[in-house]
Amino acid sequence: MVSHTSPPFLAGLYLGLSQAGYLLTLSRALSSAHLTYALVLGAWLAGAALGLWLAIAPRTALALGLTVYVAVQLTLTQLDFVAVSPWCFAPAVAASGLWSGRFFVTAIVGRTAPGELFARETDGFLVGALLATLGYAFAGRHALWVLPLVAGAALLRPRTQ
Amino acid sequence: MTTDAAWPRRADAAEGASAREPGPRGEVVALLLAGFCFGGGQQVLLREFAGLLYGEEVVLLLVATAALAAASLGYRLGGRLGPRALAALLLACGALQLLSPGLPRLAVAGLCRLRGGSGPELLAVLGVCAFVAAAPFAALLPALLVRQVEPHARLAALRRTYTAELLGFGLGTAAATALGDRPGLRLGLHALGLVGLVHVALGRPRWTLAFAGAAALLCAVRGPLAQAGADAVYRHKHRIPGATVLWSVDSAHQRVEVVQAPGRGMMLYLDGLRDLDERDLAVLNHYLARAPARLLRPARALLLGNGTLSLVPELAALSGELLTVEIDPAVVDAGARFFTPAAPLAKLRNWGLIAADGKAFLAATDQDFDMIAVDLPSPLTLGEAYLHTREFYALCRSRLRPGGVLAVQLSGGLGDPGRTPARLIAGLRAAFDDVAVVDSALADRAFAYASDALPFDEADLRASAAPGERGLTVLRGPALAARIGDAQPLTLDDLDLVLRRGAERLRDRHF
Repeated sequence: MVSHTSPPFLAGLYLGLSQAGYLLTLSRALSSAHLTYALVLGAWLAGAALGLWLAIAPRTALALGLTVYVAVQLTLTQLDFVAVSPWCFAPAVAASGLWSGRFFVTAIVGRTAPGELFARETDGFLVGALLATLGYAFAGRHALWVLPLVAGAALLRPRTQ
Repeated sequence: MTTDAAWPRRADAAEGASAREPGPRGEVVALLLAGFCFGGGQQVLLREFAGLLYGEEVVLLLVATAALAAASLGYRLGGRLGPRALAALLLACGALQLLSPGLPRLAVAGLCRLRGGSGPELLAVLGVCAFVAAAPFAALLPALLVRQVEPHARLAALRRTYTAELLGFGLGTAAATALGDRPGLRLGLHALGLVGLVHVALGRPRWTLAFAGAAALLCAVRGPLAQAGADAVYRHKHRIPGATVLWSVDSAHQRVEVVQAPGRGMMLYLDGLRDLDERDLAVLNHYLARAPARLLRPARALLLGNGTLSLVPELAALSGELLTVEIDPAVVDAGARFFTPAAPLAKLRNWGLIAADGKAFLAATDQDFDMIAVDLPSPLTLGEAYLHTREFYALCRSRLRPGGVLAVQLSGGLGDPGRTPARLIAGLRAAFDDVAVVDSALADRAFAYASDALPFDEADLRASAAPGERGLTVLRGPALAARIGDAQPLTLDDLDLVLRRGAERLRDRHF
């Protein structure tokens, strides 16, 4: 039987890698000013909230978010510094955050208790955010599109249960 | 239908709690307030512990780790604790949060005093404070959801409550960040959120009244409590006898503190790291900008950093036009209040100030300069390290006029090729054709000047030594290459030094 519910730890890992990836890349290429941080957090939260209500298939939301994320990363990977407002990337960040809301909508009616669900997702998010920072510091900017792509592909892979 | 027997039904969950339960609207308000306090609490925790444990990237990661681990624990507790235990958790942690302006600082200072220095126990204080700041708020969402047994009801509850929590989190984070320079108002707003949450979530007017009374009292003593805590940290953790904190604000970027001590004058601390000491300022400014500007007489000069503005009056006099670009307005504010008299600045007609990230400014500007002086902290965070990379130096070069000079302070004396100064010199040599370094015994650090062709030589630099200099080494060309050996430049794709150095410092301080 094909499962449509993603494992919470892996979901959190992917989300942590993506959010930290946006923050690290935009801070490097555009600006390290507080606006960048506030914008990534605000757009991500807005996307996640929207994802709770939008009637879009979770896998579609995941594929959309991952595609947009990788496109942004590959574009900015080509550039060391660029004079573009961080606001231009707010829609992309929100699109990637969308799946966070869709994930919880799907998972909350599953077998995992709510507290355990949120806790495992948070554990994964923590590991993802740390991996993104370590990956960037030790392996460079390419780590920031490779790692989320691998995690996203693992989530998109059909699972049987 | 989900039938996990461990999940209490609504009626079961309410057993033992005589209080009124919030309805759907009450749940939304409760989660909005929980999110608000959660977001604000995280922001305060980050600033507090970046200041107490010192704001290297490793410490920022450690604080973020503690905060997320505490949230995870809170989620787990929310699904398992009964209503009474959750109420006790909220009341206890809420009261401790209202002591946050002084309690963590006094705890850290007290432990340092007992040990006679920093130790690993300070990390335990971080763990406890992270739990207090996150756990009671994280616990509420699963505690509400677990009561909904029917999938449709649970999904509907998730949508309304989690949306409210996300919205509240964003608002709480934004408010705590915006009010960092008004800590009294920030605490008052947080206290209001907590009182509202206690009222809505617990539904017991007497508890609300008692909590509101305690909150009002703690808000009233915030000022003296915060001052006592801040002074104690500088006296017992930084070990500066008689230190008094004259000014302390949380900007969006860091905690900015001005400290005064007998025999030391005034010092500026950014996230607990000493940025400058009034005693060292003159010699630091001399080599970073006064000496090259006297030799160069730039028509147009750019200062990146130097938020204290201490270089501005003199450099403006030596330049046709001068522009300062500083990322943190709170540092400029501290500079104007304590380090640079405002009157001479107000009279300057050839000086401008822009609040921006240096690299973003340089990437966007079409201006070019005869001299760029980079006055930045050591590369201890990624944000600072970007401005010490080979790529950034290349960007600076692209904004220099022919014969223009980039001046950089190297965050230490010339040493091992693996250490920061040698790596910064390697970056400069990769981006520029001509680099000279002066290593000053008086300044206890080295400075570099880079250009496509430096308009001054070693003899000029020796003749420009600061008054009272005890020993100046000037290196250029092959001598400089030999001195730094095989040092590798910092690049945007090779910033592990930031984490390695931060980890070293953290280990040396605490283990």
